[in-house]
Amino acid sequence: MRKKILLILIGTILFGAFLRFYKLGDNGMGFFRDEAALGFNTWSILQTGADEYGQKFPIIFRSFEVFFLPAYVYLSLPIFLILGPTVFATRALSAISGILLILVTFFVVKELFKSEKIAIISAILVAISPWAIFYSRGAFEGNLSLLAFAMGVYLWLKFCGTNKAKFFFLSLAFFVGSMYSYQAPRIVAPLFIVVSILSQKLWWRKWKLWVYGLILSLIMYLPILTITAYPASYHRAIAVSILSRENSPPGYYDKLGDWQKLYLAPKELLSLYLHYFSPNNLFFQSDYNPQRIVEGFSVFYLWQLPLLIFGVWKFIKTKLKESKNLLLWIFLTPIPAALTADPFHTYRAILLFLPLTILTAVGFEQLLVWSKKMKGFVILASLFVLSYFLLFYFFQLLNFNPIARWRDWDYGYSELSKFIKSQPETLRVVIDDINTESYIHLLFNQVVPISEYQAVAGSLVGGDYYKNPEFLRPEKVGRFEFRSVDWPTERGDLNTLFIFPSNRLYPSEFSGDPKLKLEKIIYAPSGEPAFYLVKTINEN
Amino acid sequence: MLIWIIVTILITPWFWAHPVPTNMFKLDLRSEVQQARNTVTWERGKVEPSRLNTYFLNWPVEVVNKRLSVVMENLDIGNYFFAGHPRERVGVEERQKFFFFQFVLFIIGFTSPHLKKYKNFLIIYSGVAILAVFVFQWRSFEQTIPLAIPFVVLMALGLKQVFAWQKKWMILFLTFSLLEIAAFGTFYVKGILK
Repeated sequence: MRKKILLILIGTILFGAFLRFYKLGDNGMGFFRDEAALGFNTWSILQTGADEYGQKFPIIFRSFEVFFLPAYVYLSLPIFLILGPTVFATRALSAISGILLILVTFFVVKELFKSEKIAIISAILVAISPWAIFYSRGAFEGNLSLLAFAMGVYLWLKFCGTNKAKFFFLSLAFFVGSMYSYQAPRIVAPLFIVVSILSQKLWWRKWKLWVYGLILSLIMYLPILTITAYPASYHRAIAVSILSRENSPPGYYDKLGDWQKLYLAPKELLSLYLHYFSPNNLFFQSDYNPQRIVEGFSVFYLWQLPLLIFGVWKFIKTKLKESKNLLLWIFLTPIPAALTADPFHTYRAILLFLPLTILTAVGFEQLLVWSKKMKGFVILASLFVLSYFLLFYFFQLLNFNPIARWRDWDYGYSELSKFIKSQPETLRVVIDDINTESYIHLLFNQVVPISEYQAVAGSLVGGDYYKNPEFLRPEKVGRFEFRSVDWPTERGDLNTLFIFPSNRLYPSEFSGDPKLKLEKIIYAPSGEPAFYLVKTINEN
Repeated sequence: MLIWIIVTILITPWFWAHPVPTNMFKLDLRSEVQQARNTVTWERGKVEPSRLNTYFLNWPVEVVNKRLSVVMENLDIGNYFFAGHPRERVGVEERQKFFFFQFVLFIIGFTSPHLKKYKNFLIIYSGVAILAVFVFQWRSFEQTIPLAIPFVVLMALGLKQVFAWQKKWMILFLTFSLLEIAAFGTFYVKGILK
């Protein structure tokens, strides 16, 4: 590697690290429940060897009946050992994955295009891209899976280039690793490997290698294979899949009969799949879920659109030897996301964004070729545009998003937990929560004792941890309750602290009542109330 | 080539509805700017006061973003081939503009050896059309009919390519195309779709 490229790469990684770690523990928006679930279960494993349900070293984590995969939790253990149960510690692994992804991208692109120039441009784009920054700044297992998948692709490319079996086996290890991290690679990784093998010339001549690879993969994946037959393994996929949905596809007309599903169902699937390539979604409109939106930004910056077009054009023209691997990566990765009914779910399609970023880098390199005589000006102008949009992105992320998105990020539980801890330990605490999800924040903030929760939750689940996908979360643990509150009936309960999200109870429903006292209002970054904490006054 | 274009137009649902463009050149910049100023004032009131607010929260950015959102809507594949699905827009009636097999023709059109003849026309026309969308904010089924032209040209090129394929593949493709037209036609005739 040339010294100049090495220096730029080191600088890019350091800059990428700064962008990911700056205010990581306090982004102003809050700490989302899924993050709290990852964090708490890591802490619980560290403290007790069991998860929130008391299950010893689970293969898949049951939390919220999502049954999320274990890699993020177990790999976070050393971080929690050093830093304890903090928001920063919970997000650190994702941030580290995002930083390492910059380096891995460099090597993937160098292997793919044999060009350090395109490789370093790709690394820079990964360091500053909105999708890469966003998913590195929260506890997202998908980010870890993307790192593992990218590493798998890199090693597969090395195998294709050198024909050395060790690279093949190592690539399988990383692909299986990605399957331990997030749901999407469980479909994409096996497909990628199989199609890549079948697309090799005279692939059947290496049949022994493929068989050894299959055996190795099965051994590595064995823990999850042992529970394949149980709902824990497939419940999440079925829950979100359009194929298992009860209602009919869009456009279904009752009086026409079921034959129309033959037309409407594939049409819907295709629309969902192609949606992940729509310029509107990739460059402007962003995710459908407000929790994953940064106001004014989407997956890529708008200025990357023409670069992507140039990149696609150049890619088609060049017909690279290993181009099929990149094509496979691009066309296979939206499949898991497209099989769910949610329109443009950026998290489920996270594996797609790296190859598109690579194509954008190809486009930028082509732009430099076309503007050879004005190369210096183009680079300067690009740096200016890049700086402006990056600054704008962080301005929105750290200044505007907390105001607009605090409710989507469960803002306020940290302050709420501190208040509860300051109260007498005999006080009954009831949180108005129709989904019974707020418990995870009280567990993470060590308000509810771990062992107490494990005892109650464990008794509900019994021996059905992997077998029963139904809602089995306790609504009451000791003096804490997490459920929907029937306020007219319960407002007379003694020695109770009721906690209401501000959109669940209005001040008119408790003010002026001498038997109630508004203990505290927790305010959101926007200045509006996030929680009302109302205590019942005991009669003498 | 004219015949291919005519055939493409005949099989395009967008033209079946005989759309008559209306309100094409409506422009109310004053009201837009005022609205943008109001939005910016609200946003600046919410965030921490900072010099950066001037660079990132200002009415020109708001006005441009609003127009860009309309341009990007018109670059959405779902808008043309899937009646807006899965992200149907608020305030716009979503209707089928093209069949899905025409999307395949659209892609094939890019591989046509005759594309070079129409390249300049397509680039210039598309650029002007997108600029017009940016300025006049065309969104509706009728207003955006001028955007059909580049699609029709590419689809016509694609259709010409299909007829140059081996007979068995050509028949297979045409069969699926006719099935899609028949399925859609059933909905159309039943009056479910306009």
